[in-house]
Amino acid sequence: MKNFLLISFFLLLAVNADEYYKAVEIKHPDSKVALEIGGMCLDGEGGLMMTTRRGEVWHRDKDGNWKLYAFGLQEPLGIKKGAWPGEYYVLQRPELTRLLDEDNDGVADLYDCFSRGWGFEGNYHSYAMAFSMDKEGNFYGGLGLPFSQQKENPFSGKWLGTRNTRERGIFFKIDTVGTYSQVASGVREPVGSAFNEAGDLFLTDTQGSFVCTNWVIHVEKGDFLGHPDGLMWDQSRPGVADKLLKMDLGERNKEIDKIRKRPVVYIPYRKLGASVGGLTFDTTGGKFGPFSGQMIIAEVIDNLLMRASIEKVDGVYQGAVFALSKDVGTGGLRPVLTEDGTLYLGKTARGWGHGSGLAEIKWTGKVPFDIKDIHVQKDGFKLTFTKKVKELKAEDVNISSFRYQYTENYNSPMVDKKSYKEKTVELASDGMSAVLKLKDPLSEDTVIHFSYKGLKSESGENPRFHDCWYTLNKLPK
Amino acid sequence: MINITPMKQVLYILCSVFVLNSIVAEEKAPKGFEKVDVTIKLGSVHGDIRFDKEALEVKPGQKIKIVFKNTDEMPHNMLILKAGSSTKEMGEMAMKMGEEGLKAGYIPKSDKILASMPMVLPGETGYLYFHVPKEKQVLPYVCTIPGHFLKMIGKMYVGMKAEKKKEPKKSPYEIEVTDKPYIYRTGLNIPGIGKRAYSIAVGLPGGMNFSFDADTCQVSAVWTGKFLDAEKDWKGRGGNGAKIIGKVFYTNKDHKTLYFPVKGGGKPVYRGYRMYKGYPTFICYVGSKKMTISFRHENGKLIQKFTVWDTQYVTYLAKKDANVTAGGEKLVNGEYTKPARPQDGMLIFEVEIAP
Repeated sequence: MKNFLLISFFLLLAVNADEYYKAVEIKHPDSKVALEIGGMCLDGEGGLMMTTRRGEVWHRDKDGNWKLYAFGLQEPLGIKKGAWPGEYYVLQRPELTRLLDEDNDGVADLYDCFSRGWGFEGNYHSYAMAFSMDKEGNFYGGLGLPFSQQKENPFSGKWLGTRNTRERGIFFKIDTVGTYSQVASGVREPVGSAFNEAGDLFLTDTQGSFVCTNWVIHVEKGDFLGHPDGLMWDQSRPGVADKLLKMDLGERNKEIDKIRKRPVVYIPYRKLGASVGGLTFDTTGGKFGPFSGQMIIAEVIDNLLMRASIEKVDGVYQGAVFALSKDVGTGGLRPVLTEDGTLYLGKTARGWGHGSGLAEIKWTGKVPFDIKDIHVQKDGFKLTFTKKVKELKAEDVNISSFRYQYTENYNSPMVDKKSYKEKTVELASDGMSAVLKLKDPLSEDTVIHFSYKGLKSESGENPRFHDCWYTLNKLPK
Repeated sequence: MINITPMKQVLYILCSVFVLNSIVAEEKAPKGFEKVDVTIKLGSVHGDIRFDKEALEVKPGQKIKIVFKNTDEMPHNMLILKAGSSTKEMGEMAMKMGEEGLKAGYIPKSDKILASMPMVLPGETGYLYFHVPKEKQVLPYVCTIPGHFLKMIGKMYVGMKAEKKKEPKKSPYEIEVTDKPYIYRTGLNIPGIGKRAYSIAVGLPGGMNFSFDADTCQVSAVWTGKFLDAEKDWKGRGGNGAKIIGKVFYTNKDHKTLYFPVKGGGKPVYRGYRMYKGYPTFICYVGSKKMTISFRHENGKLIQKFTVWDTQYVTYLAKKDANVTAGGEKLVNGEYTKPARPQDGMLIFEVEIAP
């Protein structure tokens, strides 16, 4: 029996092993080190810098040697390399810290408080996360909302929000000399942020009150990103929070829904992961598989790595989110992609799930069959494929739509469900794309679910994942 | 720090002078102790100011020989006190001896001492012969080298079973301090004050710990013994702040200790810390004035060294209930003002916080 179980277990592993993306765990040589990776960046010399939730900063050089660079920080969840040798910027709960190795021994000597423009009361949910840096060397990050069940949640959000701690719910910028300023308000518990090649900034935020599901949102100066608690500190919207609070709940939520910015992609809760991690962009030009240019999104609770193909319609970002691999382990928080196409995934799920450590994920060179990307058209969609499709029937791709109800509760219901049964299909002559025209009109501010189990490549392969979701904010004019 | 070399001389003097009743510090047994009923092995705990046995069981009327092996890097002694005596009182008496104490091996003149073992230098072995009283009782013993009495204590049970000390289960999240300071930023839970979100807790070698508050730029707690239990930070979602597991002897919630010659007394702003040989020096600014604060542990006291630039003077205002010494004087409910060097406005001064 025992042998049987063991054999079954290995069989299971063999079956699950991803033949397109191979994930290998990299262990810390000291088993006592809790490698709960909260932040990660490249060291510029082929190695990695990692911050852990216990406050350590570890360096792993290109040859795989580990060295403790710094310690004692307050749950640091982001790290970026500075311009000076041995200089790193670490976002810890109370401040952005500049770490500097002054005597070139590989260990930080100076822990410089570079900037702290926000309040911190010591609440476990008051994370400072979603740390990124632009090409000019400015820093960006988000200030999560504290957990609180008291009456001090003016917007009636379940468990979150307070008027007592400065700047919570704000997405900020810290310039190269350490000056803090607001970029946007309305984050709930932002996890990751990253710039695309065009220099636009994208942010992941996690499902909960007012954030109807995990999402990726495009951040611009002056945005209101959805969670009303941040409005209490929003300098670009004086008086708005108080005005909203005078309304009754139903009316108020409708009004907040009206003024909030729509995400680039909604990631349906429990249909595609449960707690979104950080994100990055595949700028390797094909070294990490056929999805070059797309967004790579980590997932904390489920064994999942995602991707999103995005486009700009009428000046607004939107796109489709897909599974990329379901064999990367759980706990994915910090995806860091090297130029040569190695994805390092820093993991920790402590408190929400299982899994921690460091994974190295490489594309095996085999192209998985899938929908590569989706572009909305006035009356339908254009799909492109990773491999040639010989035949395509209308029923091979099922299309339906829904909307998330915007509420202060967890688990926002999906409403206004609609199925697009009648459609025409036109496969391109090279078999690499198809245009689907729908009889019924599409609506803006909806999520379109594509289910394509029946899709087949020329060689008869089915797609290994067969669901994706396109967030339709704007229809082309 | 105590200088080791003259200590050896002191030890010899002690050996020759202190041959009272049952007290002796050499292997050669004194008269009446050629044959002892029992030999008890005792030692110090390396890196921790502690006896390795904190309870001894002896029979009434026994003649005993205690062999004390000092494996620590500090000198220690051992005094057996009369039943009911305070080890703290004895320790404080020894501390007050000053230079005299050094000569006397920090053994105060007191009728509460039944027997004493003179100072045993690091790596050496000391002996104490003792005729146990005939009555059932509990005799406290203590090391009276300055500051050691806080933790280096034990009880000798005469004709009685030792009280079983309930060893609290060691937390798997305990942060232990080794021979280097450990620094840990946390929303520290300080007894009597509550959670302080901007705490930078520092555990110094030898069991002295403190918390530097990066919001107020001053010490918010000092404690001896063990450092921190990080369970509330590291278990589950964590992030709720570490717990002090040693003995807190100083806390400061909102008493402002430092005054600068600027409008309103000046609020220092935390700017970070620099590590040197494992020790942090905190950097603060009061307006354009720079201030650094370094810390060290000396003889059971926490010593803060302030360096301030570009000022005329700085005043330290001690907290009422605190045992604070500045400029060599104990600040009883008082303040200490240190003028700066006239040529460049720099000043250095030290403040000691003791239990």
